[in-house]
Amino acid sequence: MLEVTGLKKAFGKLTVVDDVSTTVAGGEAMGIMGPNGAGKSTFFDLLAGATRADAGTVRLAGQDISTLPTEARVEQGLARAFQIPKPFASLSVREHLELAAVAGAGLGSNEARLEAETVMDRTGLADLANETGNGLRLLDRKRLELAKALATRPRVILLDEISGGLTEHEVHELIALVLDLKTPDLAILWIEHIAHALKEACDKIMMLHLGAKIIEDTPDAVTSDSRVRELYLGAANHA
Amino acid sequence: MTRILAIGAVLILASLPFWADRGVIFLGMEILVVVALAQAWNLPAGYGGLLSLGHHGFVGLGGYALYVLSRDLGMHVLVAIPLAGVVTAIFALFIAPILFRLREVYFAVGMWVAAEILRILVSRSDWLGGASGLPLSGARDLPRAWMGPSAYWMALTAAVGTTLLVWALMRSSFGLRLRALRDDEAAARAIGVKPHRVRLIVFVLSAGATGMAGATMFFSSLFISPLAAFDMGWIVTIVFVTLIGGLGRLSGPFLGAAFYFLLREGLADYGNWYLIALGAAAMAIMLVLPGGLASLSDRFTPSFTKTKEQP
Ligand SMILES: Nc1ncnc2c1ncn2[C@@H]1O[C@H](COP(=O)(O)OP(=O)(O)O)[C@@H](O)[C@H]1O
Ligand SMILES: [Mg+2]
Repeated sequence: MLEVTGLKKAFGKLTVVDDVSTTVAGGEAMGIMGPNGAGKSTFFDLLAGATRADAGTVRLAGQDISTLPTEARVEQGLARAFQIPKPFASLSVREHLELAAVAGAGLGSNEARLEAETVMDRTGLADLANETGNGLRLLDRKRLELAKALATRPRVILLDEISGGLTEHEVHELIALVLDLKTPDLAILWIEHIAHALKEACDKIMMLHLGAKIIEDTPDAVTSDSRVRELYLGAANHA
Repeated sequence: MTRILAIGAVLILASLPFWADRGVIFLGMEILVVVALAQAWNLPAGYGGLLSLGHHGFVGLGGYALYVLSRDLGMHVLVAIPLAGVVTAIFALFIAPILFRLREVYFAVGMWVAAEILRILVSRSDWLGGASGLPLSGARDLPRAWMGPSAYWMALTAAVGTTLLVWALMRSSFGLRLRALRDDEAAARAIGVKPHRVRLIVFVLSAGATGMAGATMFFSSLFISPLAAFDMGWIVTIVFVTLIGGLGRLSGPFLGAAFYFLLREGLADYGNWYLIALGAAAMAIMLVLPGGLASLSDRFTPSFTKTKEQP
């Protein structure tokens, strides 16, 4: 579903994404790990078109989307939940999702209303349907990020640290939700620091360090890799 | 209920020329033009975050379009007024690609510069009567006694039309797009909202409505000159009225216009003092009621969009 080849981005002299290539098939979930500042969010920026890549291509279902602006990539089916939630201050939760369904998925207004209800039920936002964006707690803002992305009916979904601040129990619910999302026509990319969450939900894990891909393999292989343990897991397990 | 009240109010307003004298009809026309102008400006500014300081350029352009359509094409004035709005909208469509390269303050100033350029070009054009202006050649299209009432009804059409336009747009998913863009552009794009297209639509609609209101205003004066048409006073009034009434509120332009004309007429015997009073009042309202007069109603009625507090 998603094919990335030779993706590069530098800010001045600092190379933040260094020649990353990978593929994620429909029905597959790929976890992305790496220390803070490894370039994970910037990698998503490049995929989503929020930042223009210096080199490399992004293909969605075979089609080159590298030169499309963000909103056109969304129409093609590439959705993203931001690491730092971006709710609309004056829109209600329901309006957020109706808009995502209309603008992102191209639904008519009646279908969009239904879609908003479905997505709210799925992400546990139903009780907050009429709350405006600036009235939400951080946790609900995170949920809304995921809900907005889902309401655009994506073929590729980019999840950036959506579990931040969740309790252990809530993390389990989230894992269940991600597993539930796995269908043959959706590819999932999930940035997270919680190794066990990625291990449970993902088919493979990619590790980034200083912008470069260190390893991409099954969760078991990645978490037992000595370089990964040295770089990252020791620190994350204490967190 | 609100709807019935609104229809009743429009019917009463429409009957005004049958029972009021000429002075009142003229004042009513002026008020309605200002309501239409403020409503049209509020659409991009209040709902879309696209602040223009050059809408007086569209007022003047609409006015001149009426005079030219009437003189060169012999068009009936009552047909030429709405068409002047169309001409202004098309003009906006062509300048948008340049102006949209500018953001925020730069866009606001860019619009003002565009209006100045228009004024200078028009004052230098012999075809448009140069600095001294043009008489309305279609002045004989209507019997003299019907001029005032016709201008008034045109103004009423413009005021009601722009209000309905904004109301309908903001109820549709287009309104959601506009508000989302104003709140956070990156987040709006991330769910598929096309910023350029949305802004272009509101900008062009706003320009068209402003041009039609401008044409109505200059229809009643039977004469147009660059100084009067492209007067900065238009944009000052529009901004005052909208801010005092309530930015991004449908009722804002009505409340703001009521306040503005009450002050202006109330202080009519004291020369330009009303401008100072207006400035002071605007500042006081901004300090006490940042949402304008329209936000007063929020303080006394329960809000239905807010739900219970989070546990
Ligand atoms: N717009 C930018 N300009 C300059 N440097 C940036 C910009 N965005 C990110 N960076 C830098 O790129 C590096 C990677 O950031 P990021 O992708 O957010 O990392 P991660 O999400 O893996 O924690 C960091 O060193 C950050 O400071
Ligand atoms: Mg990050």
